[in-house]
Amino acid sequence: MTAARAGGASPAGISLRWRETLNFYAFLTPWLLGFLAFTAVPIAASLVLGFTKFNAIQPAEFVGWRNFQFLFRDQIFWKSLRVTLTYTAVFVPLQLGASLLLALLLNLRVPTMRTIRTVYYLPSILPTVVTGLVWIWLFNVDFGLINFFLFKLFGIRGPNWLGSERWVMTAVIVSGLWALGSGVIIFLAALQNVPEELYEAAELDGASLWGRLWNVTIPMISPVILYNLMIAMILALQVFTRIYVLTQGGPNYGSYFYNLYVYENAFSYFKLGLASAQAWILFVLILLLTVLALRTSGRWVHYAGGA
Amino acid sequence: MTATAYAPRRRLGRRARNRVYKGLALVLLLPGLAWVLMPTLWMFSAAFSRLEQIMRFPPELWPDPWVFSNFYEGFAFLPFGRYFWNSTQIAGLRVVGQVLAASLAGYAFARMRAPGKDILFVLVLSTLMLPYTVTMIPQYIIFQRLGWIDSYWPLIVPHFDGGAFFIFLFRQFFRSIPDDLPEAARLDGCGYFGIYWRMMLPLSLPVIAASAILIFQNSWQELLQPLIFLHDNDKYTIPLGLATFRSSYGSSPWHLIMAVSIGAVLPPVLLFFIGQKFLLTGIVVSEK
Repeated sequence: MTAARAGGASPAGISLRWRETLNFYAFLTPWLLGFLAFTAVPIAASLVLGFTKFNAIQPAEFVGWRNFQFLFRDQIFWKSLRVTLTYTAVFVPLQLGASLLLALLLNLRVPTMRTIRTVYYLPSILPTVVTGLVWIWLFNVDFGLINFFLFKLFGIRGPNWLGSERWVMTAVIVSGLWALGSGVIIFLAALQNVPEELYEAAELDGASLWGRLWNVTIPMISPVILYNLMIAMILALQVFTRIYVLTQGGPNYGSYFYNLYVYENAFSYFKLGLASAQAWILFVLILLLTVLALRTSGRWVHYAGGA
Repeated sequence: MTATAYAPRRRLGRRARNRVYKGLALVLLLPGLAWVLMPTLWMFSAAFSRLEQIMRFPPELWPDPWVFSNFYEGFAFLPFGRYFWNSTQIAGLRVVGQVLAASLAGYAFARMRAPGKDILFVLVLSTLMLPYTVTMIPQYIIFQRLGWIDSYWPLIVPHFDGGAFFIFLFRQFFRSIPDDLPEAARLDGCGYFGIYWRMMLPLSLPVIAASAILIFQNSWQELLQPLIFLHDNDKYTIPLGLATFRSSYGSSPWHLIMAVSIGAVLPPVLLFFIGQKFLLTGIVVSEK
């Protein structure tokens, strides 16, 4: 801004403009280099690899669409896709709703709220591998706390959560809903930015709690709801660590998430071409879902004075 | 919207009603606390119990007797000290490089004008949608050619782009700083880098702290990258060590695994408690 004002048409102005551009690109150099070397080039390379047979030792061999044809006939591929999409469809709405509700509650001014917030955030601080190990035990059919409480409180004999294909998805979703922290904290930050005057005005107009929530809070934080929705979706489609520890994909591929299959094809069987094709299918899927979310967002996302 | 429009019908006063809402909120939040704390409590209890006690039904959460040797045995059983040091080095380097890169890029996007800026910013944000598996295989090939397999560079260097989320966080923060501050510094003869380094960076301390905590946590818990790039057991990180242990020995010595887990959990938890007050404010100022 300031450089432009000093500029005008004088030669000194042009050089100021230039200096700003040069500085901009100098500041951006780490990002630019990283982006080119570890994102842009790899994206293109993996698209090419998707059409080859390649094991990292022998030179890549062009095979046309054969990787994709193979995948579309591969039952395990379809199963891993189904597992991942089912999880995403169930987990994302639950996670989003629970995070928003939790953020609304945690935003109230109650004396002990700081401590309560900290405790609710705690699960997100713990490394996923560690919490995965703990959940294995909590879901244990004989000694686990989950089945113990089910029995104690409701007299139900709990299932073999991680050992039965029927229940494993429920277990994965439940353990995922335990760590809501990062979504909650972004909602909380958004809630704290809603101007107090809007609530006061609504209250003076006699708006109920529900009315204030629906007509003030939700529209004001809707850009953040959209952001959290997209991130939750993108992350749900890429679940890896928790599954790797909890079930390793079993039983009977009942929790064989998409990325677990990509990882195993790439680094257990060294089918790098096939795995690249698989990765690209997921990428296209994510792009389609993101575009869909952005397209429909015009109807419900409200941008107040430029976010 | 005038205040005098009409007197709303209501039985309770505003204050009393607010108190009812807050009470209801606590009623909802407090049982949730038990749910959130349960796994952590179990971890602590198991880390101090004998194995036979963990295997009992109904579960006994109070260790009897308290076994402190679990820690000693567990840390010897996995080379925990080595894993810990490995994870620390990686996280430390990643925090420094990533915060620096993200703040530089965020500053450029917030306060400078240049041709191509808008397109580049869209490019930054669009990397959020990119699954890691797409770039993972070419990255592996690149690092193999560089001879970086079994070194920490593949876990650190790719993050020196700053990361879209953190660039965005810094950009939002730098945009919120009033124009007259850098203007004054410019009149005092500060260049672009001088303004960034001596004035903007110190101002952005809450954002730096929030980013550092989040980046540390990401690095400390990362599993997939170490799994791909590290093969030598001496180089393992804590998550990789624990996960490998789980897949090779099943889950027999639970008491030892949980003792080790407590060691693994301590650094991020301590860091969180130290920087806690920045975490929310760092994000709040950035969202404005």
